[in-house]
Amino acid sequence: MIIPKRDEIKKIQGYASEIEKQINSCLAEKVNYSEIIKILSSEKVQEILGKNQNIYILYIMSKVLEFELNQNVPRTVFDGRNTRDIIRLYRILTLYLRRLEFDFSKEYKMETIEYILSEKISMVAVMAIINNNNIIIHKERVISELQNILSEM
Amino acid sequence: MNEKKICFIACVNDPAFFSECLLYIDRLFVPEGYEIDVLSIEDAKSMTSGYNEGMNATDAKYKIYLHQDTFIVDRYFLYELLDIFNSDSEIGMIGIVGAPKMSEDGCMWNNERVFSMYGKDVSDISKCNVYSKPDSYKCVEVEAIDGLLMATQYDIPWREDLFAEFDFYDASQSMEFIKKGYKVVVPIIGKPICVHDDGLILNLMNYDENRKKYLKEYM
Repeated sequence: MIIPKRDEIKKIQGYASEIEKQINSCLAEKVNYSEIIKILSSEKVQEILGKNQNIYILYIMSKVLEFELNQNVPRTVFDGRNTRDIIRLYRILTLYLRRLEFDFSKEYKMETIEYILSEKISMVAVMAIINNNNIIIHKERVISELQNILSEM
Repeated sequence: MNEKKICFIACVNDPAFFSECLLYIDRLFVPEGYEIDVLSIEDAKSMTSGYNEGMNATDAKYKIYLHQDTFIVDRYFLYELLDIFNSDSEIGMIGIVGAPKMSEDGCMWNNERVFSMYGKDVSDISKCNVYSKPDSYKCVEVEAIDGLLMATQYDIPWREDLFAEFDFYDASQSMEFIKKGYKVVVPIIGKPICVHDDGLILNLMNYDENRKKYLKEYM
């Protein structure tokens, strides 16, 4: 690991803030999906992707957005949210999905579904987040548990 | 000191994550005759001051200092912990990730590491219905363990005089134990003990400054 210097970290944080600001301006009124995808595919984002957690998560969520747009999902993960909400959603959903991964009781697994429903997260997004999330190890198990619970509802 | 008590101590600034961490603690199988307790330290000025506060607030002999985003998936972890501590009174501290030899630049990640967690050593969960104590545990002695989970059977004050932020409290405490003649180990038990959901990319704003303090004090 190259030991990061404070100046370099501050510079990266500055870039990250600027990128978030640009994305939030796309979210202000009618969501400009193509612009969001364009911003998060830019060279600047690629440069700092492995160095800033917020940008890393937003990048993953832009991939999720592309899946949702391809499937004509009526409400995407970017709708009605700002960047902080989107980042938080990713992290909290991961917590809930981990309950399916590690065989929690039905009561706790149902809370996962309740969270997905209350946050109006599309199943397209859920699947894309599972598949693009490298802290969810047993992806097939999570998907299988999810399918089992949904089939019982 | 209550020799039959195990206390989890965490510095907390995200209640949602800590609530989730507690779900995993609640699921742990507790060895007969033992009790567990949990202390959360909120608004800690630093990890060292928070952990000192926790350490002094409990009479538990065994203390498990963990991050709020560390999720213990091995439900027999407490059995394994006690077996390892009881096997050798010289073992002062147990970690999940550690460096047998600290790198010359003070950065734990720049040398070989050993670990018993998901994300680094992906393997299937071994589904055990009954705890079966192995004949012996393989424990690797290390010079530093990662702060995600640090379990102790002795109390040594954390160096809040030196490390007043959120870096190097773990490497420092490892050296404090070693200086006192204790071993710091990482057990290799053939299955992952926990998941550490720290977001993979860390905030290292103060890392270098604290690294230099660590080098000056210990290397």
